[in-house]
This record gives sequence, structure tokens and C-alpha cells, in this order.
Amino acid sequence: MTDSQQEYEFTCPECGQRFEVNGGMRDALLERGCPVCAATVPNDAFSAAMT
Amino acid sequence: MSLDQQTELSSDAIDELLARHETGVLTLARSDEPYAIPISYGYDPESNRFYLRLVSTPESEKRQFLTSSPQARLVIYEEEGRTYRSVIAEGTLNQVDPDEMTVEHIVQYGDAKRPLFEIWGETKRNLDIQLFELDAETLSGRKVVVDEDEE
Repeated sequence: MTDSQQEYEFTCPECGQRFEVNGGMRDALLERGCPVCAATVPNDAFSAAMT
Repeated sequence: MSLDQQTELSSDAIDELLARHETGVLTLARSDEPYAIPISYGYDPESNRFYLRLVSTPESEKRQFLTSSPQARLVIYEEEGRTYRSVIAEGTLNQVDPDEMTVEHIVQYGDAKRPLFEIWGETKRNLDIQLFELDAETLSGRKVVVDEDEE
């Protein structure tokens, strides 16, 4: 992981889990799904991080 | 039934067996009280680390065994004709904080089979789904071939 800056807030549409992610994690979530509940992650599960 | 042959599995054979499967039996203990549950896992052979999702409710027995970082044993086994193989991993179970999630976590949990959330009769939002890592301090495997002439 080369980009450690958290750019987005991820919210799982199925389990409601939230955590901040960077670009690499966003890509991994879109490809692999929510690590907590395994739901498919849509593009609109991300918003700009508050920090 | 008699045992015709029993051998240790090589490190590569252990990794191959773990890659072929995605479920096992996780055993925990509290004092002298045992607790065993079927689980699904992802496995990284480079680090000998298992990635587990555990689902519990506040009242559940499982929760009582997960209050600290418990010693755990994970058993994965298979039967293929007269050949039986098993792998046992022993180590400490550590909870993964979602705020410390990495790309590696997302990839590994993506490889772990989805738990059967339906058996809980609750929506995912009402379930407590916790992520754990099991760093295998010891990892051993055995293969047993049963004599075909015996019943």
C-alpha cells in the first residue's frame, strides 16, 4: 500500500460498517466486497472523508 | 479399519489443503470448558495467517469465549477415497479493528467464504460480525491411508 492517506469514508449498504479508506482500499472493496459481511460494494458506498 | 500408512504432510501439502478448503472447526477453551464452532476462513500461506469472520449476539456463548485474545486451534480435514488428511493450526486469536483495515485484510476476507448469516434470523445490521486473525504458531498436517481390505 503506497497511499496511506484516508480519502474516503466507506459505509457498507448491508451491514452498516463504516471506516475510512484510501484509494487502494476503495479499489479492493469494489473488487472483493465488504470484509465484514461479504456484501458486494457499489460505487456509491463511498463519500469524501471528513478529515 | 486398520491404518495402512500415516505420514506427516509437507509444508506445501498443508498449504495446498488449506487452499482447497474454506471451512474448518475452530476450538476455544475457557478454563476447562471447551467450545468448538464451524467457521469459514481465508488463509495467507506467506504469513501462516488465517482470516476469520465470527458472528455473535450479546447473549451468545461464542461471545463469552471471545472476550480476550484466546488461544485457539483450527482443524481442517478432508476425506478422499481411503485417504484422510487433516491440518491443525494453533495460535492466538486477535480481533481486527475495522479502523485499522488494510488492503491485505480486504483481499483476504474477500477470499473467505461468506458465512451463512441467514441462520441467525436477523439482518446483517442487527448481527455483531467480528473479524479475527489467527496467526498459526504451529501448523501441522497428517495423511492417513486406510487399508482397503478392512471393513
